[in-house]
Amino acid sequence: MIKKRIVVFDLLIALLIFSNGLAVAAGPSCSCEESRDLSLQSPHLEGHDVWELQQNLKELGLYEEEPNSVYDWQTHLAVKEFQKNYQLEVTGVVDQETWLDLGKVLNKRDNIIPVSQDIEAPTGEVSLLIDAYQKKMTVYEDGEPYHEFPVAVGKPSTKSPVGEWAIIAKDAHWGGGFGVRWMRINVPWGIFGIHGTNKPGSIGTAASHGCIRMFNRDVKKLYSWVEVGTRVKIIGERDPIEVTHDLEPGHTGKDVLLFQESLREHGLEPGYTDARFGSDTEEAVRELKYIYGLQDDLEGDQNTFYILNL
Amino acid sequence: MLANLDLKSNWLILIAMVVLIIVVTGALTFYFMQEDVFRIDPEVQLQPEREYQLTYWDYPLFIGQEEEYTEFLEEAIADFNDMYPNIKVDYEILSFLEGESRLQERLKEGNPPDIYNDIFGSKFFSEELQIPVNIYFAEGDLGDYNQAAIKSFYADQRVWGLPNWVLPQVWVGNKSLLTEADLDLNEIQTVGWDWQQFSEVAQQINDLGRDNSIIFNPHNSQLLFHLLSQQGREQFLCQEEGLLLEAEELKLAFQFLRELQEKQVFPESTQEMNKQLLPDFWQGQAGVIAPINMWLLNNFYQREAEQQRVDLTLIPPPGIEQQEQLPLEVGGLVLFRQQEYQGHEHSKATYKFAEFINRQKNLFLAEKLKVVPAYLPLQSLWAQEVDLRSEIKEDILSYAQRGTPKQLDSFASLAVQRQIEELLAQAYQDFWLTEKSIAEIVNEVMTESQQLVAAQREEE
Repeated sequence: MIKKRIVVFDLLIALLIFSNGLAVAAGPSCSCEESRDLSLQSPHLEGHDVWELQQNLKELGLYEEEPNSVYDWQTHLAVKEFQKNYQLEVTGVVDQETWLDLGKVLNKRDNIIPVSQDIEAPTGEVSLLIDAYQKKMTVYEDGEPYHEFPVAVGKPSTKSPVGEWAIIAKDAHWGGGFGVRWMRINVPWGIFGIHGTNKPGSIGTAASHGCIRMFNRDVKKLYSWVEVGTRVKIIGERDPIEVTHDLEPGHTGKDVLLFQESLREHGLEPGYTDARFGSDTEEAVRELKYIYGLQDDLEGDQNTFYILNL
Repeated sequence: MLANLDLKSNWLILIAMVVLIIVVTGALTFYFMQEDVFRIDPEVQLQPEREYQLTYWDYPLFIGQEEEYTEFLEEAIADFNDMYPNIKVDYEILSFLEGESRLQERLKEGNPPDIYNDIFGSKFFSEELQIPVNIYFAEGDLGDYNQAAIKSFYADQRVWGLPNWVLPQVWVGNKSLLTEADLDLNEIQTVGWDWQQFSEVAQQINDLGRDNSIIFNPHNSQLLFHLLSQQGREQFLCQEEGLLLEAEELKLAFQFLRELQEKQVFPESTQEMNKQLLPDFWQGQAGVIAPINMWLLNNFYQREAEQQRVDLTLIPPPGIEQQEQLPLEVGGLVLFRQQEYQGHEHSKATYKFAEFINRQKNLFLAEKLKVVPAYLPLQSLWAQEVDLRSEIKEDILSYAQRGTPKQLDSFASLAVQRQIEELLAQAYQDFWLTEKSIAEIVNEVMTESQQLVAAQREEE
């Protein structure tokens, strides 16, 4: 009987530890796709990776059409031409090596280089600013710029989430077909994070599904500098957001993010613009309603939307 | 004969002694009474070689443009320092929500700031530490201010702050709906209107369309204070006479609201009608909305200028009888000394800065906030420069001249007056949001008010 209880207890502990580990290591579930070999097939291969390939080839002047995400004959010819031009084996097949070669050529052309390995870790409080316009990440130490990394951000149809986030999980063993390291940020819609990439040619461009890609060498460095809780601010373009219903404490979403930003523009302090209607946002609403003599509750309602011009 | 003379001189000596005793005790009483009142010497001269360090507490008055406001303050201080380089001013910007409670905390500690910008119109904070500004007034200074504004800062024969601006407590109306309801706007804006007229107009607005209504915010009790003020009740308590608020006045105010409710001029759910305040107004469905404070009014001006879908008009709250006057809100600068007195020179330096802000810098603020400067020499400039439709501007100026503010007779009444105001605020919410009858609500307010007054009398 006692043995049975011990076994159950052990199982419970193991489950607890294991589930925790799973939660933290819940990396590869972001929208990024694992690398696969691309080639001319029937039916044609389609996907975001093909779009990225076409984009890379277009930048090198080898593909003249608008990227259409379909590995068609034109794409096949452009790949072969790339392989020929750069003295690679002309196969028309795009594998891991081809992506790396594409990256090398593109990065050399654009003078995008990974960080020097001997840079020391910042000792103060670290925060990150990702500028999706400039495709660059600035690491701040105690509010002062410390170092910059080139990054790839979300492409126009899947933009990186603009807002003020925090790292909520780290995974050092994430990788395989994606790239190395994973740092998830607390965006309440979708799964977004910062990670390495096996498509280095995308660095310096808007190519991802919304995640922030870094050179594998860079991301390893960054990984050792940040911890769970490190603040990550992303600035950049964003698709229009519409507020379609009243917002209440506890709500999350893009409309809450817009509401928070408007409160801040109005001189109030809703806390981080993290798309979560938390206690700081409640306080900001309380103050807004107090200033304007509305004084009813803490909801973001039609009155507040009118005042904030939403 | 001689005996008569002796008797007469004895009487004279006795009378002289009694008179002497009365005079001496009177003089001593007067002397010691005077000692209880903290005296500030307004005639003291500032020393050019001495540095005076002041603290000024203010609010971020330009909502959403805090940087612009701090720039304004810094420039104002720099300009002041051109005249008084030895008076240094540190300013602090307060949170709207917590500013006044922070001031109360500092008053309890005996360490308030030298100057507080009282934008919420509380005016009276501490008889002990608040500095009456009239001691510094030169001849004619008093007459340079809007007299209602001075009256609002007046208690115990002193003026307890420098009034910065006045804002008539208007209700906002949809001009076209009111005109369609056959209301002579010009007349009511000139001579006022009564509850009966309002009720009829509300009914007509309601009849104009299924979704048309009047919207009052059940959570903002200022509306009840407007209705009381329009019955001549600006002061709820008097040190000598006791409670001035009468049950009948309160009952009439609530009955007026009830009558409107029964006529169904409000949206279906009166408990939730505040949620429709702005959307219904801007969608042209609300004929009148109230109450509206300075910030909301500014938001209205801005939106009207941008959208021009609804013509807004400012209307006086109706009275039990037609009357020209209407409630007035007054904001101003309140000056304090500290428990550990920093000297007459420090107090004078405090007044100098407050006077500078109040007279030299207030025009810019009044224009920006679209409130009428209380300092009369600024009014004509304000009228020329403020960015308001001429019709609105004329109405505001006219209302400002006819306004009557909330009043306090004495600091001794302050605590109970505030408690009665809280009771009234609760009563207003109870009316809208609970099932209590008017009689119950009025009875509660009156009973508790009388208890408060009695308790105060006992303490005295």
